[in-house]
Amino acid sequence: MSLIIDNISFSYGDRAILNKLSLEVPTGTTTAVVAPSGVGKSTLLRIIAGLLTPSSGSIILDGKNLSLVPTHLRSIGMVFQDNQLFPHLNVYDNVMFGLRMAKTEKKIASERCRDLLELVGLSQIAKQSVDTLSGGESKRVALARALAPSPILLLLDEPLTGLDSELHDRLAHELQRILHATSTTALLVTHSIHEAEIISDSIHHLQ
Amino acid sequence: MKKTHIALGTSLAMAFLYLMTSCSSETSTTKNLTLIAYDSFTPPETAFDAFTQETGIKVNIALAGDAGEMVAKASLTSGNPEGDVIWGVDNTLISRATDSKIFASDPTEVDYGDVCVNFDIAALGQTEPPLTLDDLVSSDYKGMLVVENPATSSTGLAFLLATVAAFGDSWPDYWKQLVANDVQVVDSWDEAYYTAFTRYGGDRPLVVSYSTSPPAEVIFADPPLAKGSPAPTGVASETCFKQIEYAGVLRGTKYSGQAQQLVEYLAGPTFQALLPESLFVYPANQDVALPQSFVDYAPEITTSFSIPPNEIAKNRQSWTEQWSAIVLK
Amino acid sequence: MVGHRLEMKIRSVRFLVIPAAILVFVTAVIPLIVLATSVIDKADIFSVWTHSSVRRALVFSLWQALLSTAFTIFLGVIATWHLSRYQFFGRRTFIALVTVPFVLPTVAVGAAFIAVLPKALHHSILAIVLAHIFFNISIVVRTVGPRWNSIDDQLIDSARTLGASPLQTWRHVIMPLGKNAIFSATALTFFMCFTSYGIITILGGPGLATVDIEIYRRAVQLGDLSGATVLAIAQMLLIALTFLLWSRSRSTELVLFRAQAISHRRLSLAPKCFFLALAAFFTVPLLALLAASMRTRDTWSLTGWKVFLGIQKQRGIDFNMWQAIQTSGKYALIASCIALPTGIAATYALSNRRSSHSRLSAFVILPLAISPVVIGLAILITYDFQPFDFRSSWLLIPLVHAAIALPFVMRSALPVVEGIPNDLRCAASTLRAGPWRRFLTVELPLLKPAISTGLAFSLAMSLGEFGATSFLTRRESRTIPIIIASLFGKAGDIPRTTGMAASLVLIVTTAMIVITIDRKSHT
Repeated sequence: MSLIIDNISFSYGDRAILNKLSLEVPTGTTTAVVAPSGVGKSTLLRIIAGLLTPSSGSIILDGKNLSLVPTHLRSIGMVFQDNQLFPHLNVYDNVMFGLRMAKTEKKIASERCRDLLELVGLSQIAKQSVDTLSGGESKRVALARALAPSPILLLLDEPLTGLDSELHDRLAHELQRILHATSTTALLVTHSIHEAEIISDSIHHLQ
Repeated sequence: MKKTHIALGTSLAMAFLYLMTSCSSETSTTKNLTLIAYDSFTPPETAFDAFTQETGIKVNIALAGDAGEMVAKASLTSGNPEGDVIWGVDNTLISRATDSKIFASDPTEVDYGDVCVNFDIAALGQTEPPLTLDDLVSSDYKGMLVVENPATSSTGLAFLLATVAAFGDSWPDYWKQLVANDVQVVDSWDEAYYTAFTRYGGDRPLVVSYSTSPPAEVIFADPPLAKGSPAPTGVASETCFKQIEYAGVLRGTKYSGQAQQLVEYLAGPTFQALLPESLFVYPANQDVALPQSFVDYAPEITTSFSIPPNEIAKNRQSWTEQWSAIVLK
Repeated sequence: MVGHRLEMKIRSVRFLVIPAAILVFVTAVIPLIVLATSVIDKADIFSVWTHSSVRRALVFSLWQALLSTAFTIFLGVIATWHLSRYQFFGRRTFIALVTVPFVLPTVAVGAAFIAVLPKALHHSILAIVLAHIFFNISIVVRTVGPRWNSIDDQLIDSARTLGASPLQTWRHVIMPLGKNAIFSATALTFFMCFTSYGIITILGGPGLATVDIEIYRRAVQLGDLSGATVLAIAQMLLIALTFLLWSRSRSTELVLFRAQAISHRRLSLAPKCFFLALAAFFTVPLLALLAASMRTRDTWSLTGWKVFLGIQKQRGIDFNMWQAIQTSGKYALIASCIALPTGIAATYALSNRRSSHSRLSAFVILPLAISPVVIGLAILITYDFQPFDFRSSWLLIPLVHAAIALPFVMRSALPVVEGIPNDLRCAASTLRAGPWRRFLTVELPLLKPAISTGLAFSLAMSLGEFGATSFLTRRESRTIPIIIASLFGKAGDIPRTTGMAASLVLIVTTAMIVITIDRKSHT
């Protein structure tokens, strides 16, 4: 289940943001794309997820060209920079969301949900509302939520940016542990090499 | 902080109330009289200049809705009225007004008019125009008449009263015949006249309107009618119900002397001469000459139906309900 | 420390609701109590319902309101979704355009609809429903719009990445987030349709009556003031109850204020056609009115316009248009000056206390919920003794206008006030800015959208002389709607075309005001 990014280009107006970018993420590994802010890292993730259409090039996931596949059918999970938790659902229901969309059988779904909450260390606050969570807790819920429907690929947009440094390293190691434990194929973008080094197996620099 | 806010709020409220009260007129010798009238009371702007010149009093017109609303409000505020003089209580409402004792003394008749079936001459073509109520149920005029709902229109009410006066207790039978003759019912005069009447794009050449509608059609024709040409509409002169309007001093006014002067002015020649071409009614004052447009185009109504006001007041509701049951089903 | 101060602030602003409370008490509650105690005959409380006309009116009010509301919400939700999340040509104008009908005098609009609809449909439930949609769709757009507009694009994206198809996203994310606003819009729309008077009068057939119409007939024609008051109070209670039930706010809901750019996603063909159809729906009647104002039988003529503008003198028609504009304008400005600060202050008082919100909603809707006839009469007999004889006060009409506009001012202010992040307030207070300074420099600029929408609503409603004031006696010179009504009361070509010209100008002026104020503000 590997991801192949093949010659992706994207321009906004006449400004070229991505220029013939090619990259491969082997199955079960985490690759980091490191670049300073504003260079197009988020754009890349959005293209992979299907939220943006590239000007040229293609995304191939597990041998399948995703060009005509809409986002919700790509089985690509994403952890957003500001988490984007659903405000009208509590922690448990947030994590359950993907499973509900896939119409997973109730028993299996709730078991998976509980497993993931335990994995990220949030079992006790399952029924809590999301607007009372701390930065670190929110990030973990976002991660659990994205992982719940067992996506083929997980994208992470600046996962640790904005968290205070004490939390930073701790969460970085946790993230690495969780991704490894679930054998997730993951691609993360960040501006911090340090972060990339802890979490990922290989690093790619973007110009 | 909280206390200051309360104090501030309270003083604002007091100032507010004071402002409102100080705006109501409190002068004991008045230079202003308030004349209550219905919304469509549209005399020319200079109508009261002569009165003001003569007496030094300015007349302020207060518009109180349609005639029915006006009387309802006057009845409610009887003895503590909103104004000094009231204009336009008609004969269908006068009974209610006098029962509520809104007048300081007997009201004065100020104008009259007739509600009659009007016809569109061009649309009738070769067909002879109707003359009487009986004509309206003949097959010659099947599907040609539009009337207003007496529950919602004073014009419609007047026409209903005409039929009650004409046929007595068998008036319901008359209406059954009208229904069989495909009469159309609408809710208001302007709907009947401007939407259903053939003259304005409708399909009914016969409409219940006023005897003063033909001269209005001439005065307001656009493009103006050629000199000497007849009015485009006519009146079925034996289908009319007489409407009379009254004015009077309101009981409870502080300025009854001056109010009485105003009433006299309203019934006097200067003001009455303005009535035909602004309100499209006939002046009650017989000494006033009618304008040329009326002389030339207003029909001569020699017989019109009428019913004593207190009888109208007593039976109005049951007649209207009976009518609804027959006509609206 | 800051949290503690914030809590104190929240508690101490409750008094801000006082002006609004006073306004509603003075214009509605007190008069109604006085009226009820002086005219109601106890027997009527039960016997008024035995009249078949009353029962029919009740049944008709109910089902036409339900039908109209259903269609309005359905179309409104579709339109609002696109308006609040997509950028397209004329979007802001469209939002303002949609609000205009809401505040138009029914006299003018009735003329327009009659001009446009084929004869067969003049008196039909279809015409009534269409007219109700025309008038009330803006309620949905303005209540649900800000809520949906504040949903982060990325929230939708995250749902997509979790496998939600567009339909599922709609069902599980968008609708739940809009639920309260939609409930609220439904309640208000239902209420407007239920108490509809002018539309039913013009487009309903003879004999069709809503409860408001029945109240009018009882009070004015039959002299049954007691029965009319009973009906009016019953209707008012029903409406207030509806509001209490439907305007709940959930404490978990966060309305984030984002001056965010609307998504640059383009509309696909279907929504574009929908909007074109909607735009036509709003403009075609006006064009029909324009044509009618220039046409006499088979000829075209500008006489109506000339008379209206005073260029041509017409025997038998004499009104001073400029004075009417002044009068209408004066009422509108004063009403707005009262309604705006009162409404925004009240919104502040509530913004952090969800439970009181629905109660206050129900309370401020009262002046609108009570039949205009009854309010008019109630005010008449309440304020008729010295030193409280306000009946002749020029302030009375703008005051009642303000009371009627109040719920709309509050409704548009609430999402904005709530969206002002508390951190901004905290930050300002740490800069040693006292509450007034804080308000003026930090919050007031952020309130601009609320102020402009509220201003647009109160100005336009006052110009159109909405509801309750139609039954109050006017002492100043005529206002424009009255001139229009008396023109339509005369027979002949010229009054008719002049009346149409006047209607069109009123509509367009109101539209311009609303559109201009609105465009300047945003969304």
